[in-house]
Amino acid sequence: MGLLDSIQVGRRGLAAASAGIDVTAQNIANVGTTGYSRRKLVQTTTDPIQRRGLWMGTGVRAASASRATDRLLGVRLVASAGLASQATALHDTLATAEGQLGDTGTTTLSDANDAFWDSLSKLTTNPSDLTARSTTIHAAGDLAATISRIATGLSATMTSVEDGLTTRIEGANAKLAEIGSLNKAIGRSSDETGPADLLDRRDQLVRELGEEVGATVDLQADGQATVFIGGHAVVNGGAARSLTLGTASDGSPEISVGALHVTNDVGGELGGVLTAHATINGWIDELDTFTATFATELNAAHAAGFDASGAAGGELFSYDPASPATSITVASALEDPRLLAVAGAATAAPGDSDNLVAMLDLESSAIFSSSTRTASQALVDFSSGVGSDVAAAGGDADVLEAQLSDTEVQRDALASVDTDEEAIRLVEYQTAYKAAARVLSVGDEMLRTLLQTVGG
Amino acid sequence: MIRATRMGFLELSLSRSTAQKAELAKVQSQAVTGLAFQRASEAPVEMAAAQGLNSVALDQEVYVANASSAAGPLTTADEALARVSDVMVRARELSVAMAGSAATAEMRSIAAVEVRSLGEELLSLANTKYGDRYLFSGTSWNTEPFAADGTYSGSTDEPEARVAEDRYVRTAFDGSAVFDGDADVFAAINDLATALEADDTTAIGTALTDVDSASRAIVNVRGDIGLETLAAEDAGELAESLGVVYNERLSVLVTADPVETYTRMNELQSAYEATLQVIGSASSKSLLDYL
Repeated sequence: MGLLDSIQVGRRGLAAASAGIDVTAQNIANVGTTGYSRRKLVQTTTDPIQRRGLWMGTGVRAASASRATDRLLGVRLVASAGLASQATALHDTLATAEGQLGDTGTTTLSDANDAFWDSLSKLTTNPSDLTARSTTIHAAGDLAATISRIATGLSATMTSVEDGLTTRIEGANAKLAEIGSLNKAIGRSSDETGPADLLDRRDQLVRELGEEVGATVDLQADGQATVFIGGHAVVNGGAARSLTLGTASDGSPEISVGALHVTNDVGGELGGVLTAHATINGWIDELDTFTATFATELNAAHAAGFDASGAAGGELFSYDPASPATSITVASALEDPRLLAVAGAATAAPGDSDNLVAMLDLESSAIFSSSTRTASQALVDFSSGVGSDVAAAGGDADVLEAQLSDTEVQRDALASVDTDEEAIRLVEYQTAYKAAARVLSVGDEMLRTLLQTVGG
Repeated sequence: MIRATRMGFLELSLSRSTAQKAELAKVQSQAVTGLAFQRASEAPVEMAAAQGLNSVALDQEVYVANASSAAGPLTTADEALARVSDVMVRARELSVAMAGSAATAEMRSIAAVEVRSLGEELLSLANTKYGDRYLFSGTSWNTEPFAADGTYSGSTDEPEARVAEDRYVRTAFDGSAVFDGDADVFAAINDLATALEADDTTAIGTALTDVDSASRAIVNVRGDIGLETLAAEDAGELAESLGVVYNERLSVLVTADPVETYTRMNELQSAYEATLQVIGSASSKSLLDYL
């Protein structure tokens, strides 16, 4: 090996150490960058040469800056993020809707229902007393208003979910298009280290898409990502499709990819709010069924009686059959308490409470939930059913968030930048740089010595 | 060996401290409100049980109030009928005294005046009011039930107040059943007065039998009303006791135990602070500090 060869080896060592410092600097600079995967310099020896019958090394070269990543972990992280976001969005939306039922201390459905029946009970002691009749009508009005307030509040939560769908879908479509573009750029790149930043950005977008719409991913060997929603490819290579928002025949929101309906396939936050939308719709249906039965039964019982003037009873509650819960009110005629039909006979004697007793019989009648539950029981079932739905969603969200956190810890263990580690690398490369520089310095001195000797 | 990184540690710390903060906020809310739960989702089963208990506890308050309201007319009716019994006793005394040979026509004439007076007292008692309500007019309690000739204008229906889930007590009575049910009280008194005025000892004897029958009828009605009064009192007392029991159970169910809450809050606060300290101390030192 000649003296000049040693200088070349030193030069290459200097370049490799310098590349190492560059990679380390890049890692340290991106310590807080979301989705960044740390790089590691891969060094290889350069090809040896034969000198005077001996194979001599020619130094080192920086082969690549490898990206710390794991395909399976990446796929799992996207899926896990989608499931956790779906459960959390479902829980958060349902919990917001549950607030409509009121906290302890406010008038709940159960309280309003109790107050109504209790007012009827109290009226039995003096059925012709106009103040007591007014109290009963007010209690009926409070119950109707409570049902209506809750149903209206639940509907408003559904509307707010619907209002947010367009923005969510536009955001997802923008990400789908960007992933397609990044896929193309990644596919075009022939440099091994070049697309690392693109891969990071693409993977971060795929993860965000997982959180938003529950997309899953299949990472190809060439670095491109195929993105799916419910088994339907929405990004394949550079081609990206779009989600569209429509309305199903039952009036509920419908998500499509082209002609394919994927409403039941979407996950993530979008899937969570859509499930919440359907669940809240079910709650309103339950409240509608209760209200229609309650009002029909009470109206029939009230109509069988007679008011203070001996006229047959009219409606006690008014409602629109298309939306009983939101529309229920006390019949407007009952502003006059004398029209409350508590008497059982047209003589309407002041102490006649026969029809009042008939109405009170409904309190303990199992006329709800396929004739298995009383009004009080049906309302308690409704409230606790809502609570159970929210609690179950909260439990799922906790478990799935914990699973996501575990997966993120695994991802961080593999890919995140650790400043201590980078500091060690910095020392390592700095030492290597100094040593390589020393080799150059020694070579330079040797060359000078030789030149002085020859020039002598 | 798993590669432990600062970012991984911070991620784990964030997840842990967020969960601790949420749990701490929940217990702090319990400490501030004194309630074990505020929404059904926090304890669906307990909330359902609490609503059920609250519902029956409120029912008991109504039953107590209704039983108390019913006690007034029931007691007043009982007192009126006690006085009717006294009238009948006096009428019987007079009829026994005047049926014998020792009584003269003049004495019977004087007795007749007293019996007529007893009849008027009887009419007044039959038209007894509780507040503005006639007690023996059935549901037509705003109508005077008996005319001077004993004709009944009230209702045969009787109003009832609810004093328990399946128990009603009468708060006014069918006067025709009370005074002309098993025996006609007015007719017995009127017949006695007529017999005394006519100085007819045979008719006085017959009237005595009728007065006895009427007395027994009134005693029977009083017995019924007495039982109903007791039933109302019992229902009221039972509702009061049940109300206390239900409210106690409700309180146990919905109230956050203060000692348990504060202990748990302190535990969580300490754990949260410890987590923050660990995060703080781990974040403050780096190898870079020593280079």
